[in-house]
Amino acid sequence: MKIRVAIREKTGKSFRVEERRRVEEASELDCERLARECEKIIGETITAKAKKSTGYLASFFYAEKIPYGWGVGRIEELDSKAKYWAHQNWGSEGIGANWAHTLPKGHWVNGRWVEDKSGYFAVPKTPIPAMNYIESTLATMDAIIPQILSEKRI
Amino acid sequence: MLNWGLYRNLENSVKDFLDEEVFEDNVTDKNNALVPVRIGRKNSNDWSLPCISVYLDAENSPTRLYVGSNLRDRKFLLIFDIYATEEGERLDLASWLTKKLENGFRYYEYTQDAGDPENPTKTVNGLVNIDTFINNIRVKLGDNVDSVDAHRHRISLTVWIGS
Repeated sequence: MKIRVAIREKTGKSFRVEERRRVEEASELDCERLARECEKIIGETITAKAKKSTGYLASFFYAEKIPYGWGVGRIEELDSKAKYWAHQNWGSEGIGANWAHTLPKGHWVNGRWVEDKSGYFAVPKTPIPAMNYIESTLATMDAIIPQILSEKRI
Repeated sequence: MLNWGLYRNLENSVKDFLDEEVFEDNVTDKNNALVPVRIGRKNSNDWSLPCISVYLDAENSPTRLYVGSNLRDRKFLLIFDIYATEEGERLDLASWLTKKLENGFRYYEYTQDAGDPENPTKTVNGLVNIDTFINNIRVKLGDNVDSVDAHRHRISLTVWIGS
């Protein structure tokens, strides 16, 4: 004789369905908390590491809901609105500068070099130093994720 | 003058380790010259391609080692930049470097000798263990980049020092 047991919670819903819903809600909440913490840390890291921080670059690293989770820093947006995010993170010889740091012909506009064939050559004093704000943030997150997840939810 | 501290010892321990491994494995460029390992984040005009640069970027010690202790769970963020001359070389160097770092390396403490400052005395004082590979990626800076930046690879990882 086969006996089938169905576990139901107080309201009569399937335990399995109800438990799955509860776990999904909890993980969604945890993802959001981690994303918001990441937003805070990356903003602080950029501000602390930048020579003269205006907050412009940091403003594009915000937590947002994406399919199947949460994310911080959308690459398409960064590429179009804060084009130098990669150069500032990884450092570079300069945009288009050669080994001797000579920039292609152009001129300065608000501290940025804009290529222009009728312009002049320039040599930036130093290459763009690597800020490593992404790596620093990930390393910090790696260390504090267990701490955040173990905190009680309000 | 202060003796070399932990940060400088760590950077030099990595360099010593990689120099030895480059020699052991005969990691050379197209001209059969050994690939140099440099410490530092800034290129100089005397750097040649290909090369590997390494430096300590930050220390992350947010948590205590155990409840009631003033000791911290110290982790260090190390950055490795590979500057290659072409894509194949970048991939090969990245793959070689990743494999070499996986098992960690010796941590040395260096003592300077006033008479021979270029060759400090080193004493083994632990093992540097790899905690997490943060990333291992091609550095994409766009289309309009210098040859130095055209074939770059970044490996970043956190390490801790054990005895």
